[in-house]
Amino acid sequence: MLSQKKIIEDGDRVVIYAGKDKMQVVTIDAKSGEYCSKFGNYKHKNLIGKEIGTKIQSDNNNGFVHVLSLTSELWSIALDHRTQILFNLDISTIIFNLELKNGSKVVESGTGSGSLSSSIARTIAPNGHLYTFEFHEERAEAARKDFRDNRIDKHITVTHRDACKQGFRLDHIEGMVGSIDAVFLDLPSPWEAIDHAIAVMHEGAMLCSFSPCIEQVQNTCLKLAASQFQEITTIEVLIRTFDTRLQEFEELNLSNPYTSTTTTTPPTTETNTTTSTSEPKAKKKWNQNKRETFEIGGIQGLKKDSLLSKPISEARGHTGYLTFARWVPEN
Amino acid sequence: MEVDTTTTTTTTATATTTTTTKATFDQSRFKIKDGDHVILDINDGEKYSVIQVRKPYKTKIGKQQIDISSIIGESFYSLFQVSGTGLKKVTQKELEDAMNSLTELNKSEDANNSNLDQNHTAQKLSQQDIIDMKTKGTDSDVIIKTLIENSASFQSKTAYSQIKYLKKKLKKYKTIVKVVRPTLKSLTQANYSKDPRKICNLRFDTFGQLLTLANIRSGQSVLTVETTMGLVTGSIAERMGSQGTILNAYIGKGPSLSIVNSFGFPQETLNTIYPFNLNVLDKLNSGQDVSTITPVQVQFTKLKEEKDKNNSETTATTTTTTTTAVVESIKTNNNRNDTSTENIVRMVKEGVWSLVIVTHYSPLNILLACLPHLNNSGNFVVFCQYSQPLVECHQFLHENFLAVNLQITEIWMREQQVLPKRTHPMMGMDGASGYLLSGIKATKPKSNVVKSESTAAAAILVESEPTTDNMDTAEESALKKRKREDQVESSSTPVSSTSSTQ
Ligand SMILES: C[S@@+](CC[C@H](N)C(=O)[O-])C[C@H]1O[C@@H](n2cnc3c(N)ncnc32)[C@H](O)[C@@H]1O
Repeated sequence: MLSQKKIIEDGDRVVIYAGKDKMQVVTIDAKSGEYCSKFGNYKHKNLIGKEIGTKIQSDNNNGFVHVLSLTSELWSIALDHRTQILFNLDISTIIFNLELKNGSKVVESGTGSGSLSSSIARTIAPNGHLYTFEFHEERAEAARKDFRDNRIDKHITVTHRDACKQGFRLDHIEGMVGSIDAVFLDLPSPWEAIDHAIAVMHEGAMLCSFSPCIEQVQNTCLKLAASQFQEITTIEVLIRTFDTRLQEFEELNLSNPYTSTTTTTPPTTETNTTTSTSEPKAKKKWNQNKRETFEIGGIQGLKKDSLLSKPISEARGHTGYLTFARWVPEN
Repeated sequence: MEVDTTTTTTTTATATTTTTTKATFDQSRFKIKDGDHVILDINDGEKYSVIQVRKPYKTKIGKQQIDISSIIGESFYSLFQVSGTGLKKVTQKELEDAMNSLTELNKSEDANNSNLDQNHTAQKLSQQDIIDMKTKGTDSDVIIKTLIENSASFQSKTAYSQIKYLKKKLKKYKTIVKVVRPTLKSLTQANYSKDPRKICNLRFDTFGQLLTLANIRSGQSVLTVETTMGLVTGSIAERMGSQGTILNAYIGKGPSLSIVNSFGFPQETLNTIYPFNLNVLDKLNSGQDVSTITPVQVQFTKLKEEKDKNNSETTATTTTTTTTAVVESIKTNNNRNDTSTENIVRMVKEGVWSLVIVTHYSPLNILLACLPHLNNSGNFVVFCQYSQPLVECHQFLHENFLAVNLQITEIWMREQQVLPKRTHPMMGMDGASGYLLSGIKATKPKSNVVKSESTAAAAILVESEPTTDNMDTAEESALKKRKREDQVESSSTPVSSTSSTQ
């Protein structure tokens, strides 16, 4: 996940991309690997040597896919949801506000499906480290396997432990306690883990808690305020994705009572007439699009392709509240 | 035998160190040092001042020149109160205690604000009385106490309104300074609140999303085109931490990267940044000679050099207002990176894995100029305050099969006030996140294999295209998704979209 190269080789971890929600993460296996779908069949050995990111035809020429390098974003979309997971916008906001960078030392609980963990690892590698705590044994083990497969295990230590009861101290790792730059909590009762967080943080370190319910936020904020945290802020972020397309749009040719000159020709004007050489190619292409006239109830109209954009109707209304705070002990 | 002894000693050694780790951990990196770049957060975000702590340790806070030497050796994020012409360290607790000692807060449950005077005549002191107190140098706490005593309505206010009133007055009569470490987050905040136009109105959450979508990580090769005075380039450098390459194509006479200085980077980090004229890309793309373009060497202000040059500087410079990036014609310098056009061209030709564009210019032509130099499977992100220009970019990329996973997004962000029994979203909110166009470059292979194939195969290829997301409308996939979710719903009980475990 942390290296990219131009040519696909045996053993590479890649994404087979057949569409936004048709992605699969695979490890290229020259001997027996094969990807089969309605987009065709692909023997891994035939992918080897191809340029990454290019369009690749199926073995039987009945479809194509793109093979992409694996990134944390694609992983968050394609991974196996063993729990509810954090999505890219919340992840981005967390990483930004926790001020993470190459070299940061981070504590996280619970690991869940490892969606956030993978993004944190990308940001803090190679000089930093992520210590992640999960009390569900199988989930901890499954996360370890994913991190190994994605080759980010060097940067992550997964500990099977109840974070609220046993805390985050890893006394066998020298220098861990007191060196933590940021703690992230995605737990049912985050306030129970705050004293444990303080035990491993350094002064000025950041904490973030993600909670879907406002009651959890309320309890967390009270606990933070009572524990020498400052800059306590709670935000929510939601993404709006736009559907953009060239689409037929019908225009009725009606006279405009607000201009003195009555236009008889349909308003095909504006960009159409400009043919400056610096004009991007795309614009010219739209101009070439069909323009059909039609008639409806005695009114003339014009059908033309217009470039339109609107938010998609299927959107997420809530993920969770993000509470951030900085630990500034005063003695 | 020997081996055994060594093992035992090491184990005991580790055991002793671990018990004392927290205490012995080097705390000096959390302290403010002479020469550090810092941000002064004045009165909780009212104003920010980005400065370097250096001789003669004077900077303007409010209307006065303040001696800031007392912050040296104190922890970052400590609070200081302006007192006379200097800064006095205070704690949050002291400030709270001071506020609480001003007056007894209303404990009555049935207090309400029904008697509040709309015309502010509840205050018996005249404006002149207050000014007189201030010019006499009366202590801020005394002024506020007098204001309360002379306020007809204060006692009948609810405790909540009383606190609000006190906080407002405290801000007016007391100047509290927090010394913040410059990071991509704090510099974004300081610059956004000062003048968002200077950083293309790039809001923090959009910026965070941009860095994620661009796959910024250590070791990455990134091409940036930005007009954010170096905020974008500097932030990428911070994330990568001295490992990686940032090719910064500037627009104009020379690089404009003054914010990069505010990060206070070590030379190794500055060396990851390679500024060059965007013209180079344009010439390369049109097959012209690039050797005529004069390369630049950006001289980022370094503390040591400056100290040597001017020992008797007058004031600590505000880095955001003074352009400290000096453009010099190139001189080969051993500890600086090689920004010769030759080297730039070599790096550009190798290709980059990330492309980031944040400018106030129309983005399409810039995107097209850069895209050939992004490797296939590399990530690109374009920020624009407006959606229409990105819609054009989207259409171009889509039509020409240049990218996959194309997306235009916007963020809705709201802050919550969290207080016992008074939790609600903030009344004010920033409604303009700007827009991001992101995608992964995916073109046909350079060695055109398709050509050598039969036309029949090519025809099949075209026919099968509608099955990919290039043709898959968002509406269709949304519908499919919804169907899938219906199936999921019947088998589990979703609360909200995340964290069902809670
Ligand atoms: C919603 S999931 C976290 C998802 C994760 N952030 C991601 O992006 O994939 C919450 C996880 O916390 C774990 N958990 C809950 N309480 C815990 C505790 N006290 N100690 C450790 N893990 C805990 C649960 O088993 C669950 O896997």
